[in-house]
Amino acid sequence: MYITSYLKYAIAFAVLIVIQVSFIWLIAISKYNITPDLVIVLVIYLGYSRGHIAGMIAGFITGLTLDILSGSFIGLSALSYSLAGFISGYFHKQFTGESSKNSPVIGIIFMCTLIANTIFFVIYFQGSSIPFAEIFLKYIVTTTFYTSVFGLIFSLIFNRFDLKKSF
Amino acid sequence: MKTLGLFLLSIKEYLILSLLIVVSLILIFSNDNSQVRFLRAVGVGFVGAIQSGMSAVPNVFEIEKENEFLREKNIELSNEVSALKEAKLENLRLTKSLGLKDKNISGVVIAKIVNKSLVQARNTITLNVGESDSVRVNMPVITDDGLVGRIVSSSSNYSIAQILYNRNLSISVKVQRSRVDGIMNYDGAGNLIINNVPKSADVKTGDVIITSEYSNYFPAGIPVGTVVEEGNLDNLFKKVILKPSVNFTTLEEVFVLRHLPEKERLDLENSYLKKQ
Repeated sequence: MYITSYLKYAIAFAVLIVIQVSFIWLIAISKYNITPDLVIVLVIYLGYSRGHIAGMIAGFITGLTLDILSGSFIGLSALSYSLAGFISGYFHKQFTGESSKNSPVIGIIFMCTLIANTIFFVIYFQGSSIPFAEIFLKYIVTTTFYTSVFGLIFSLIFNRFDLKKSF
Repeated sequence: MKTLGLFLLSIKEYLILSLLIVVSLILIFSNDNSQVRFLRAVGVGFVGAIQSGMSAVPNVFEIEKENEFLREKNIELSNEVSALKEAKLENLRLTKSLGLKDKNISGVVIAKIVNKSLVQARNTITLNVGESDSVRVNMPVITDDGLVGRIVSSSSNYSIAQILYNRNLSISVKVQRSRVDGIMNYDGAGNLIINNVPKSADVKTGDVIITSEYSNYFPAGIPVGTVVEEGNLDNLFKKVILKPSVNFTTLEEVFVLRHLPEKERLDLENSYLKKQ
């Protein structure tokens, strides 16, 4: 049962990674090419639904895959995704409780994405002359909001069709 | 063991997180882009600041090792200082000697004393120059302070000189101030004495004694010593005691003057003496 479930996750991750790498630029906004991070949404959801270990291992593997495919900064996405998956695991008990349907998944996605993006962009812009406030406003916050919008869409779909049971 | 296993199991999430973070950081630092270079620089600065703070805390083992090293270094440096002092003194002596050379005394050979005796009745010094350096028997030996003696024997690379404290050496001298003549000898008891000075001669304590023109072997005017005591020898002559210009106790380098007696003068004087 678990194997089937993880296989579904693996397929979902593969699809999202392909979209993230190949097509996401189509919906980039602003002159800074801000794009949503679809993969991290699923990582956070996995941590939320399966706990710390599943979240961070999935985060590490998918992050590393994205790093390798982008070829720019190996290990950076792996680090930020792992932490996002781990933090989302703290809300795992809510997921298993009765009130899971009403739990603020979007808030969890926003918070975890904010933390992951902060780590990612702070390290990514090290050594540049851009001040932290500018990095925070132009890259971290915008990417987090943009990702959260897609997170909201995902959570609505999950809740509407009760997909968590199928996962 | 079981407790440890249970404990590790209870924190497995954190252990896995730590492992993943470490792996991620290793991967990040394996990059060679400007960001990583900056992070490395920050890391080095951070570690340096910590180490700098920790350096205030004394490490007993390090201090012991450092002490040992410093002691060894101290001995090494002491030896070096000693050698440098020796070199400085030698340099001063040689510089002084070169000053003498500048006084237009032509034809000098610088020599180092390799052996000397000062306690016998017939004292000599051995020099590290010989016939290969154009040093010959009867050449005068001097320093910048004054007369030392005369070469009495020479080999290819070494020579022996009689010094003033040698009973076999007699030198024709004169008082620089009053031009009174005399013959200087060593009495074998530690005194340089001028004989044959008439009682009425003008010789005073402190007078400088120099070599006389009457000498066959030494150029005139070389300082020999100063009068330290003058008294009556008998009814006719004075006994004048000298202190040599040269300090033989500390003597290390000398000059051999390439000056030989004039053969014609010697021959004439010897033939006259034979006729007598």
